[in-house]
Amino acid sequence: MSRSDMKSILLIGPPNVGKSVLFNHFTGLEVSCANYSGTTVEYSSGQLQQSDKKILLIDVPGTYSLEASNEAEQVAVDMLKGVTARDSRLASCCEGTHQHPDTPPPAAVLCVLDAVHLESSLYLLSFVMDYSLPVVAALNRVDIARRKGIEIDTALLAEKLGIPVVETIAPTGEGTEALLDEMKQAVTSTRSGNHPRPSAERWKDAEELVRELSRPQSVRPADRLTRQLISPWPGIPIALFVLAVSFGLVVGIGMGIRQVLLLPLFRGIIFPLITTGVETVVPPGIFRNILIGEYGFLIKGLEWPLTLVFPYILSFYAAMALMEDSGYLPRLGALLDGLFTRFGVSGGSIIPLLLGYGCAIPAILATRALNTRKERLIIVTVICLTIPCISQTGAIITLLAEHSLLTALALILTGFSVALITGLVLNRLLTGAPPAMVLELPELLFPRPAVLGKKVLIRIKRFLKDEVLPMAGAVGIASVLYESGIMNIIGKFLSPLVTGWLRLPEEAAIPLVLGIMRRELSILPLLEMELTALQLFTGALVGLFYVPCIAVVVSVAKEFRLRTALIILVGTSASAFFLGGLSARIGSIF
Amino acid sequence: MNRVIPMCSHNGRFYRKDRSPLLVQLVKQFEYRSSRNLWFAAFYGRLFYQRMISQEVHLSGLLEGVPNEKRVLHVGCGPMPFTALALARLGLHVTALDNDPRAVEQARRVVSHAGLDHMISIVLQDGASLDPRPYDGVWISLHVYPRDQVIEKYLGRMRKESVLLYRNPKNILLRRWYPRCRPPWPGRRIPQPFGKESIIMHPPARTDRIPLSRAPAGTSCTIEAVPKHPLLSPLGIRPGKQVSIEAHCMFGGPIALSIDGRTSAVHRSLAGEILISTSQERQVP
Repeated sequence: MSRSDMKSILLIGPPNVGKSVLFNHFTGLEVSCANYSGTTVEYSSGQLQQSDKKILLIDVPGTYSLEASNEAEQVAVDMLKGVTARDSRLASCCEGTHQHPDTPPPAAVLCVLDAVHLESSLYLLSFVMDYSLPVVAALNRVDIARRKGIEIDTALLAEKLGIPVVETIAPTGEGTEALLDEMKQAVTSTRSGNHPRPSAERWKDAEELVRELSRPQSVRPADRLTRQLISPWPGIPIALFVLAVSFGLVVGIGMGIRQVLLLPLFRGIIFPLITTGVETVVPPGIFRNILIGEYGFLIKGLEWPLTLVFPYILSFYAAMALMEDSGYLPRLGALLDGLFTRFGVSGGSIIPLLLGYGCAIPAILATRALNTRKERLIIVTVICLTIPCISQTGAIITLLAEHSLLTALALILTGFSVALITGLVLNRLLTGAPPAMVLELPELLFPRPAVLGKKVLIRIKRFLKDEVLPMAGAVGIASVLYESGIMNIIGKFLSPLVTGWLRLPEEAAIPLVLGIMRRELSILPLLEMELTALQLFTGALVGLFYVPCIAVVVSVAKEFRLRTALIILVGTSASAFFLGGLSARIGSIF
Repeated sequence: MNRVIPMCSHNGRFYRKDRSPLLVQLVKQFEYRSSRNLWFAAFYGRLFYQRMISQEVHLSGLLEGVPNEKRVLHVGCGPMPFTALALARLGLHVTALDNDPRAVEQARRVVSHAGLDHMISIVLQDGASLDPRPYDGVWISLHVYPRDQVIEKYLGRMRKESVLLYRNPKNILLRRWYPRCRPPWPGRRIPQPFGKESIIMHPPARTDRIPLSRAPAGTSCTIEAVPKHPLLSPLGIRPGKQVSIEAHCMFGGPIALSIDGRTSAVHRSLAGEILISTSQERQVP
């Protein structure tokens, strides 16, 4: 069955209302969700499960209105009108689903309403009702509304609107079956659209409707905790504490799993098995060396991704999920905004910056939620230059912390100061208005353990499925290059740079070549060399600032221009070598 | 009118009410003693006042039209009324106030020595109790106390086309001794030598509306006007809504506010364009 025959339902709603959670629930897909607005920056589509008819559900980025005042709203409007990929600018793939956005006009719209902030949801709904499409409304987050003492008469709401309204609690799946039934009915029905009105009237109607539906609310100040989190005292100590604890958890748990669980398992049981197995089958020589030699594909190709990167994936995404789901990050953004504006970026950019410690690509996508182009460019440059992805962090920790904790600390400090300087310099160089942030601070929620567990599980699945093989493959290429002697030639060729300028052994050219493919491989081969503390620091420093991996460069080129990506590519490697040489020289004084 | 004042008196925390500003006393003493030596007084005036005042007068627009018919009030003239002298030399009629009898006596002597008795009248009166309506321009000295309350009171009463000018300390040293005024309405800032700045203000069209950025944390008020911004109205920031100010974030960061239980952080510059009415002000328990 071709996709154009399929009926599709658009999933529309204000930001941070839980559209993606509902989407994942209905399609079985795994789109990322978090407790702040702007998590979904591109639309994803997936087939509705538990349905005999083929229905496509399309998750649209959250919008507050449909006046097409920004990119996300334009996407939503285009999709409501049923614009095909050829004549719109939607032709890019999305995280997780990778499908062609050749969408037919939708058969129906599922509008997700926020029970906590019903007024602005109804405002958005009034725009959706202008289109001649059947509409189903899901009144989501009723549990939080109830906790806040907001009771909404759903039956009356449905009657007033003239469309079916279903109460739902997306994370637990409550009400989703009834919603599914309504959606199935809606795709076969028709509805004629309302007449467009000025937005002042829409607001008035929404306000009146809310007044009719629920008891009038007394003016409630924000919770005390929010006020404390965004004031310098005790906000700054709390922020430092939270970040330090997260860092400690990530490193501690990661190292713990590696040392206690994975290393004994692999080095004690699996590798001896592989080695004996290979030795019995493959005769000594190049081929055996490629498999189990110094860069043995079967040894390092398994050891590095599984014992070195994997534990940190686990610990980082667990910590990140906690921060995302609690709603702490926007508060941290508000706290830091005054400081961040000195560097030309708004406080909201703390979210892409922290995401960058996981992987730069989702971080680059997340910068779309930022207001100005200047801000996006500064953040993307800082991420590409100074923020190691989690695999690289794992490699750096293993390389440095297992030798001396001091060098690890020095590297972190160098990274931070270079990030600050980059921000200051770019703020001067790039033109553009200073950022003026408007950031919603969502309710602080206690993260649900089940949701956290699922999030971490998704990350692990994605890592095992999409990352282990490329990493092992890169190690394989390295071992072929090494054993065939090509590496020697490259090493000789690069030796003025590597031995002359950076004062590293000749074989340190290997990570420089491999680092282009994957960021962590600019560090990992150093593990196998006998290096002094200074050489370790220099190597790690070069690896940290060195080119971001190919995939990151490609996504920068896609988001901005090829020129931007090339400038970042050249700029990062130039600063890596400059700082590396500098550290080798300054370090040798002591 | 009285309701407006508490909104802005959070600046009052800069005042050390328990401590008399020592530097102010010292400067007063020094000016009083040295005003007897007229040669020194002329030098002192040239050093600290002349350039500043001529710049202020030119930017205030008072010299346009017929300066001869304009009347200017100078609050806090002290024993050496340089501001009054400079204004009079430019052709403006000046009424200079001070609440210190000794200073008034000495100032009269200085004025008559300068031969400007017909242009300047020195009056012994407290600035806070005077009606500013007859004057085209008002100069408020740096050491008038409490300056912010006098400024706000005057701005609320002055004629629309008149102009008010005051000076703020800019460098850290002066800030320690003189409170910095931040009236709720915008003014034009002119940097001056010796760590000061002059601010030229016109009476606001409506004194019952102030920018949201000037409302102190912990207060609640009604929104009157909102600039066009795609994110403000969906977050509830619309005219007529009751807003409570949660916090002013550090380093000139955003202002956290909540409306109908929804909290958002709005950048200070944007919050400066949101106008709130001060009439329904009340403290949140």
